[in-house]
Amino acid sequence: MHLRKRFRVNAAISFGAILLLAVGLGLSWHASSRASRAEDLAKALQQQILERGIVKDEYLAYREERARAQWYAKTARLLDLLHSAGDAFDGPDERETIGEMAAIVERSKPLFGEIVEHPDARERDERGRALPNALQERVSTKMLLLYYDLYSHANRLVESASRRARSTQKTTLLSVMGMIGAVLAVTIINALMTSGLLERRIMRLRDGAERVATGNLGHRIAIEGSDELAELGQAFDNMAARLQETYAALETKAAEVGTLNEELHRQVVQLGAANGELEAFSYSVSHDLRAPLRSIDGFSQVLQEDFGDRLGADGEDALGRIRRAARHMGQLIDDLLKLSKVTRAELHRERVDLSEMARSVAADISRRDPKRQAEVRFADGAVVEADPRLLRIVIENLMDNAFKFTSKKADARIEFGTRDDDGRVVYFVRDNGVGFDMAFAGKLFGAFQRLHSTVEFPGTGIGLATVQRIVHRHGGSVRAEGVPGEGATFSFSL
Amino acid sequence: MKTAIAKLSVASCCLVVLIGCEGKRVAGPPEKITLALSMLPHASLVHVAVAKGYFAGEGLEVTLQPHQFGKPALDAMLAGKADLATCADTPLVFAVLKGQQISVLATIAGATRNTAVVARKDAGISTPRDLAGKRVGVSRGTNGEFFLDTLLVRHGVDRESVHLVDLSPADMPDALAKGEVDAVAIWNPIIFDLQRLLGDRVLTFYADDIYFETFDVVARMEFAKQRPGAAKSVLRALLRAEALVRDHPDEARRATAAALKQDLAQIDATFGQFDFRVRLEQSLLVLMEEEARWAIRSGLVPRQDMPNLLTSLETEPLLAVKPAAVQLVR
Repeated sequence: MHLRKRFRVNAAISFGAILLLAVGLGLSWHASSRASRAEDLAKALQQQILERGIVKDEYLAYREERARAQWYAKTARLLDLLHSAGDAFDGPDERETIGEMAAIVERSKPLFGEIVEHPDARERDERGRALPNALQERVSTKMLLLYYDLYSHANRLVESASRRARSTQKTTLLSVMGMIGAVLAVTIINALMTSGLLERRIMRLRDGAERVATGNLGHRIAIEGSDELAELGQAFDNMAARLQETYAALETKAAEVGTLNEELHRQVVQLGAANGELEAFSYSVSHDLRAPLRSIDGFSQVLQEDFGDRLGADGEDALGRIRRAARHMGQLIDDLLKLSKVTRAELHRERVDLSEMARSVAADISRRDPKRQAEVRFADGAVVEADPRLLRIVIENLMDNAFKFTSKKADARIEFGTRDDDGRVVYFVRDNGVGFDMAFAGKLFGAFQRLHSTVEFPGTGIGLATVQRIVHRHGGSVRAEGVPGEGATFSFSL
Repeated sequence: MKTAIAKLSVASCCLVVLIGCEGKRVAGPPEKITLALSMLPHASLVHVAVAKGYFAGEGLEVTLQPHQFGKPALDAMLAGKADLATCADTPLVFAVLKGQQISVLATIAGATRNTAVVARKDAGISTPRDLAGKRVGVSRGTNGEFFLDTLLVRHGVDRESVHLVDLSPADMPDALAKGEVDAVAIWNPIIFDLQRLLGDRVLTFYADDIYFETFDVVARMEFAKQRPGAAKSVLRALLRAEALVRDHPDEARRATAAALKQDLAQIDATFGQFDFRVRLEQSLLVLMEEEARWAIRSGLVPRQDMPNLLTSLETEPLLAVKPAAVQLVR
């Protein structure tokens, strides 16, 4: 049975018990009212009998017409009350008593009439009092006996009615107590049964949850029945089954990840080896290629200085080109080595004030080329946790580019600043230089990628690749925005 | 008729009644009392209590002393032969007026048609008025005598015009049958026996509109004062008998018939006339005072002032066992 239904049944039982209690109280109240009416009537009868006795004695003493009329009126009233008493008294003994009382009253009527009509009754003494005679005395005595008998019957009625009222009160009290007891018993039994059932099931749920929580995913609660807790148990079992399946799948995935990790580790080892080879290669490039270049440049210089006058203009120009190409190649080798070092260098994060770093780099550039005029602005407070040596390379590349690509602008403006991009701090270097076509933006950060000729703007095409690599090593990202002829903005976040 | 009287005579010996098969037993040895009992239906409560063992149940060992009617039972008690007696009110009044120290413990029955005058038609009697100048048999000092006076007064017959013949109740049937008297004033079951014996040769005159008699349990005053516990036990046993009469009248009638050795038909004919209730009421006092006035005026007792008859009613035992049964102006 569903708990809701069980609670409703419990409520219905309690309501029924209370209804029964109300009906019982109503019946008891009715019985009590009836007993009370009977008691009032019995007392009214007693009162009438008493008053009738008094007016009879008054008549016997003084023979006043008023007393005679009152006696008959009281007799009629008494008979009326007795005739109507059947409604209030329904017990066989009580009805017999009422019948006997009516018979006594009826018997007294001719006796009183005899007193009234007897000739001797009219004889009075000198004080006006009726003189006694034998018959009158006997009749009076008989009337007195009837009076006492009547009063005794009335007493019995009062006693019976009082007993009934007490009995009704007692019955009412016992009924109410019994019914309250029954209501309490039903409620307590219901509550105990329901709470016991709930407790057993909830304990089973809790134990099951604890077992599953400790890793026993195969445990099932399996509560019997069709109530909500049984449904909850079933849902819990379903969840445990799904959890078990998921866990099994995870274990499979974990095994796969393990395999992949092993593969990754193997590849890392291979990569380390490759890096070692690359480092060796770089070292070779740096030393083995640089030596011939120095020879080419050195001997070209010797040729130029010692034999320049014999080479002629074309020879001089060729030698000049050879020397420039050699130096450019030397610069390329340096930049490549730098890029390689950037990739391999270990990160040492610390607090870096980018604003101060940008100012310092700009000052260095200005010292190298004092004639260069540009309006440079710096945003303050750009502080990050990063490797200062690598970050300086980033700032140097970006600021160099800015100065370089604004070199042909009369009103060159360069700005180092920060902005908030969806809660992330973005640092940028903006200029109003030659800019670039956004269609080629993707190529900017590739090594040796250039959008301008080295004649127009010298460079190796490795700077931005270096910038991107450093930013990536810090876990950040970099992007470029530009408009040809209007300038460019290089921004990065860490 | 003769058979019934003979049975009563034979039963004049003392009977020890020890019946303890019913009711609760009281701890300790039974208390012994002697009860002078009138062998008449008006003492049915006593007969039932004996038959059902109610006295023994109340811890009493009752010695029954059967008597033909109440007056000799009372006389036996007054003579010290019994502790208690059952009798009608008139002998009680005479005893008190003669200075006897008695205590009425309770009325055990009341009736208006238990006593009557049975008269022979052939004596020229067709109404109570015809009793004037006739011989009427009566047991002096009994309710029969008071009833006769009441009947005469009721019908305006001069008391002096009637010749009273003092007869034992046992002798009345023969006396009336032989014509030694013209009428007798007597009670049941002798009325019933006379009607059956003489058939339509007799007329029965009642005065139930103004006559009332009671049957009572009385004790010697010293008994009532000195043995209140026994008095209460007696009353409790009688109250149990009252309940049986009320709730199981047939059983009570059979018990009475067996005790009186009478036909059940005889008991049935008269049993319903009685109001078998254990009580002490003002009506008994009024009745006794009327009888006392009658006895004094009639010269049946030495002339005296009206005694305080209330002192002859012992209320304490009945008040102790059933207070509602005592309805006396005190």
